Amino acid sequence: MATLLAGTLAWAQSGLTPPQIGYVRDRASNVRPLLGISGNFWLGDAVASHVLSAASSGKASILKTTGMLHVLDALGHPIGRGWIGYGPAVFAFTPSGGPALAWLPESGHLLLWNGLRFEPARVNPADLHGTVVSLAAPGPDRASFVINRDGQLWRVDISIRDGAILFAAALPGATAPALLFDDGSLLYTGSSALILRDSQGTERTVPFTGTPVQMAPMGRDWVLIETSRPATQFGLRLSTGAVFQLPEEVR
Amino acid sequence: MIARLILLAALLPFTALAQLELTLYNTATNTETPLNLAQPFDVGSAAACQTITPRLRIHNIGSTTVEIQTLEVTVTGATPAGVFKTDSHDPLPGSSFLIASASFRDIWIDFSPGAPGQYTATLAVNSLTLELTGEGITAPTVTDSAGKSYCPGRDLIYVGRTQVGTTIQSTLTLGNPTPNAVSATVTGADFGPSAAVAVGPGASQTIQLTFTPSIPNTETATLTIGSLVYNLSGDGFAAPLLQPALQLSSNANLSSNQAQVSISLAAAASATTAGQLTLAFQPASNLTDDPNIVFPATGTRTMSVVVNPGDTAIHFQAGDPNQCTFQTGTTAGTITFTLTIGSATATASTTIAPAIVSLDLSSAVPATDSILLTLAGFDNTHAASLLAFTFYDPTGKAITPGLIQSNVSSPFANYYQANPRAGGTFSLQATFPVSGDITKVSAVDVQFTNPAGVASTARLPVK
Repeated sequence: MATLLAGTLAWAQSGLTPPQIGYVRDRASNVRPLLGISGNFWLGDAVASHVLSAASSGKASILKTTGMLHVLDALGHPIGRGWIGYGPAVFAFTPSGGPALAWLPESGHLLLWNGLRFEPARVNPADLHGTVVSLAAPGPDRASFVINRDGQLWRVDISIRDGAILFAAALPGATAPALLFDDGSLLYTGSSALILRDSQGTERTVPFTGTPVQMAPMGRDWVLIETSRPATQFGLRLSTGAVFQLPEEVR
Repeated sequence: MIARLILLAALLPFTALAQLELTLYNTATNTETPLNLAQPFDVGSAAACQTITPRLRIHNIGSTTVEIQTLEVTVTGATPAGVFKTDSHDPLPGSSFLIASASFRDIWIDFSPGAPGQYTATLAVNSLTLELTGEGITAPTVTDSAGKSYCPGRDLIYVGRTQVGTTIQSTLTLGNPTPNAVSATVTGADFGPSAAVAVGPGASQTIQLTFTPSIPNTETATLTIGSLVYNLSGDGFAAPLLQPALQLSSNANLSSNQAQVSISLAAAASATTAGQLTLAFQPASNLTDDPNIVFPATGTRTMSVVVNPGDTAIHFQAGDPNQCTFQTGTTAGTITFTLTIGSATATASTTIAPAIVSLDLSSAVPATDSILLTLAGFDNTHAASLLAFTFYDPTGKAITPGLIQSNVSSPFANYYQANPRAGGTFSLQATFPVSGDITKVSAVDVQFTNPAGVASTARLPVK
């Protein structure tokens, strides 16, 4: 039998904080905390600048600057970094939100986070036969890629231990940009809509009139969607399918 | 005696003659130049289409009144009839008029050469005569796109009528039959072109007259080609007043929403006009401003707008051009939009009423010997007072001690005071120590009380 110890609520001042969703790379290439709740957002002070790529699980964030990969904790504090190489990157998190993988398209390297730093994983980029659109880490030994092969998206799973291809299948109807999640679900762009296809193939359509050009995780349950025409950033809450416009940072 | 009469008779014509004097009157300077009757008076030169009208003044310098019985202009030599004539200002031919002593009477001579050449005539005023000469010159020509020719000084070149701030154009063809190049320049605010246009000898050249009125009125200018001056005119009219109306989406009165404002026009716009849409927030009493009530597309409370000819709605300069998203914030109060565009203004308001606490995220996670409860949401009254929890075992039975209540007035008040950027949002973490088998804690109910009432969550699983 359990008993709750009444009157021991931790009502310290630290128990109340502004809600934080995660981190986003703004259109000025700064990474800022995204604070607030559905429908009411604001950006905090930048924690990094000159960022080429960024993704956040809410619990951790991975950033790619010109030559470095950075890993931040939930508070935006650095917990690891390394000199990696030039160009943007694609990231994946563990199911619990920890940093997992980074893909560097320019060098064709898949990097695995070992808790302290990124280390190269044994993946032959030639096996991918296309451009990496998204990356997920469904398990500690597996990397799941979404590959664009001449306009057709494919899912390709590779063993991190030996680079063996474990699974490869076309993703019919899916178009880039797209985002693959660790549970196998896929977010992609449809006609005037965002489409979330779960691992069983069931699709949920979210009306969306913008033209997505990029997607990235920006917090637990949240995806950042960048559009052109107009150049705007939106936040998609996966659990509800609600889309919100993120505030521009006042310059 | 007879000899004296003869002498008087002989002197009379000389007396009458000497009683009159002719001068050339300059209207602009209000000055007179005596005319020498012994020499021809050159009335000047004119283009074929032109008429120049010198103004002469007949002075009676004698001591008695003089009756003018003769006032006529007679062409001489090869000059065609009508090239010189008295102007319609003058008395009708054949009529007479009097000029009192020390008085004068003005007369006008029309010179209309009709063609290049030298022309002569004689002006007779009673017995006084004055030889007139004038020259018809070869001059540049001006023709509009409809083929109508214009005469300098006489004809008005009407560029057109257009709305203030817009431009209307008119094409003229300049012909230069002279042996010398001429330059055409437009002088006058709001008229163009601003640069001179050169027309070579024997050549023709088109010129685009432009008129961009700055005032709703008739404006004039001149087109000068060589020594010829043409009069230009155009009319500007005021843009019809825009009649904008603001529409707010139905969720504009709910906190923590992204709502839309759009702006329609009662009639299509006739000109490009820029403006600004601003929002202001008046928090409910005892509350402070909510800085998150903004247009996300700008991150501010200001949005530039524009309307173009033919538009029936005003467009936004950032984000979606047809509707502008705004955050309603998480504080009770009134949001007022003010549109200013051209000389038109429009406003719209929405009032967000105090509401019960709303949770956006809630979780209850078991640890080794405690339950960590996380609640994120907003209280648009900023005045949460009581938080109550009831934990349940897997059978749905409340776990001892049952209802756990906590007065949260002070911590929430302190939190909102310390975090004005948060508006009414909060993220709360509460730890509940558990003695015994923590796996027997399966769910929790949460009740939040604020001045608007009690908010109850759906039963939250502990997992």
